[in-house]
Amino acid sequence: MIEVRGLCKTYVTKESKGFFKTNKNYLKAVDNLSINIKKGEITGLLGINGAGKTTTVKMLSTLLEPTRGDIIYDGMDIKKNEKIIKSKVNMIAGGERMIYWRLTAKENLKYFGSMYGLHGKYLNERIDYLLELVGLQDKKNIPVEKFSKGMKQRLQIARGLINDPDYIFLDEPTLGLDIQIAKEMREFFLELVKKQDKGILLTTHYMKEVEELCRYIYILNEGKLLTEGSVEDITKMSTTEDGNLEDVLLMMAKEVSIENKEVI
Amino acid sequence: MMNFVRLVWANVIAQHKNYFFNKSIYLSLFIWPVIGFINIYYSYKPFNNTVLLRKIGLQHDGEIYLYLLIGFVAMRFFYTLIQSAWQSSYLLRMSGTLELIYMSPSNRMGMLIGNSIASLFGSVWMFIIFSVGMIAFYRDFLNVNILSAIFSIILLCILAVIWGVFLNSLFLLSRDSGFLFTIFQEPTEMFTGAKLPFMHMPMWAKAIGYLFPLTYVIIVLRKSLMYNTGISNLLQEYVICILIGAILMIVSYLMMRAGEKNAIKNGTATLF
Repeated sequence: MIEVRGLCKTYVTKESKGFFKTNKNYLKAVDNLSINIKKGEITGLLGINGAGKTTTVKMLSTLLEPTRGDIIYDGMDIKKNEKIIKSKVNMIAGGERMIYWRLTAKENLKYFGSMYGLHGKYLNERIDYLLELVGLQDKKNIPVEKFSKGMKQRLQIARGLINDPDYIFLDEPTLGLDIQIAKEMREFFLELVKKQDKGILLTTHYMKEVEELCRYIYILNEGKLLTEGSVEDITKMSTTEDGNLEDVLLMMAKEVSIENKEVI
Repeated sequence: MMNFVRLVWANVIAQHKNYFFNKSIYLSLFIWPVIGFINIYYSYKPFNNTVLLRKIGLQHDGEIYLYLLIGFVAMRFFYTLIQSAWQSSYLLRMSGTLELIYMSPSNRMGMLIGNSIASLFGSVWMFIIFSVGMIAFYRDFLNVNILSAIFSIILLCILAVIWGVFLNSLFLLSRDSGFLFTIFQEPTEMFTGAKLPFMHMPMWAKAIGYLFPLTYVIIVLRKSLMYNTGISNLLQEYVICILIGAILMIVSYLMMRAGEKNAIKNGTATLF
């Protein structure tokens, strides 16, 4: 299990005030966040834009240093065991980045596999298995730039699984995909959790995806945790008759915005 | 160790495929250096080179072209890396693969060395073929000490790769380091003795030239290929080359660490 306790991240940005003068601005992107991510289930991290979801994912995946707080992976502190933890996690983001377009699917996986010390027969078998899994086996020797958006996303998934990670961070993984491919992806993620006991943290703006995949969710706004619970419990908070997760999220964001204005 | 070698090789292959995806690139890799050399050749041709020849201890007109060619080949080894290091760091950021590298437990130096080897040998092999042909054409003017020549050529390759590692780490340190492109590009050509005899440059120009490893490599290459100078007489230059190489590797490592630390602290690995 990943245990996150009191996690904070403050970005320091510089604002130019004329040619010689700059002002430092401090932006608290994540504020005292505590969450748990269990193996064998998909945990949702929700919030509107700027809520701190991607910053949290980056801190959990060792890509961003927290300003404060603790991240414990299966009893290991991330600060003291960074190298071991790096070999146990991976991230799959939506969009068409994080792969080399001029390389073929197979060459991409070979390259990223080597980053994790994989080689020889094991790496080749792993590549074949993953390409089969995401349905790209017959396209393995085609440069990625000739792939459709859906194919690129499937390759991203194969890339994210190359090191057989215990924990996977999905940052808007179905962004821009059509409904058919998005559905395939969702089924795939559920299988990963059920059959391979992976722990997945999902951030997305598609509430249907959350309702279908997540057992437990956390809702963030402006870096702070607003509420947490099972999808059913959170949905019950809706004030409308045919309440859904989207209504709850909007309602919470609105309430926080009003509270902030009153404080000002 | 084997893992490190495999990682270097994986980077060589990936970078090679990223940059040399089209066969027409090879034509450009051949044509531009050749035009560059023709430019130098005809810059000297109209003048009476007797004084210059005497100053650098040579006898015949043809020798000056061999002298220039050796300097020019060595310069191409270093020059090509300045451009490709900048391109490589830009691609890593733009494609988002820098984040994936930082997220993995891989050895970062392996990535830098692999990038450098791919850029270097991908870019210069066509020109090497041309140069070997030209050197064969001027073979009567060669006065080679085989052992020191082999050692000098190996040193050229190793120092060029280290130069590439240094530049790659510099461009990883900051996405705004593109201005260094200009700072390194022109002095590499002007002050290292590639086009002009280094020993006859003014003091201020020499002072700049001494900072570049290429300067020493050109000296040992010319001495071993044209003046039959043995290893024992080039020992001082070799030691300086090795020292500079070691310093560059240490500085590269520190810059690479600082670049990653900064990116992890501020979340700037994706900015380009």
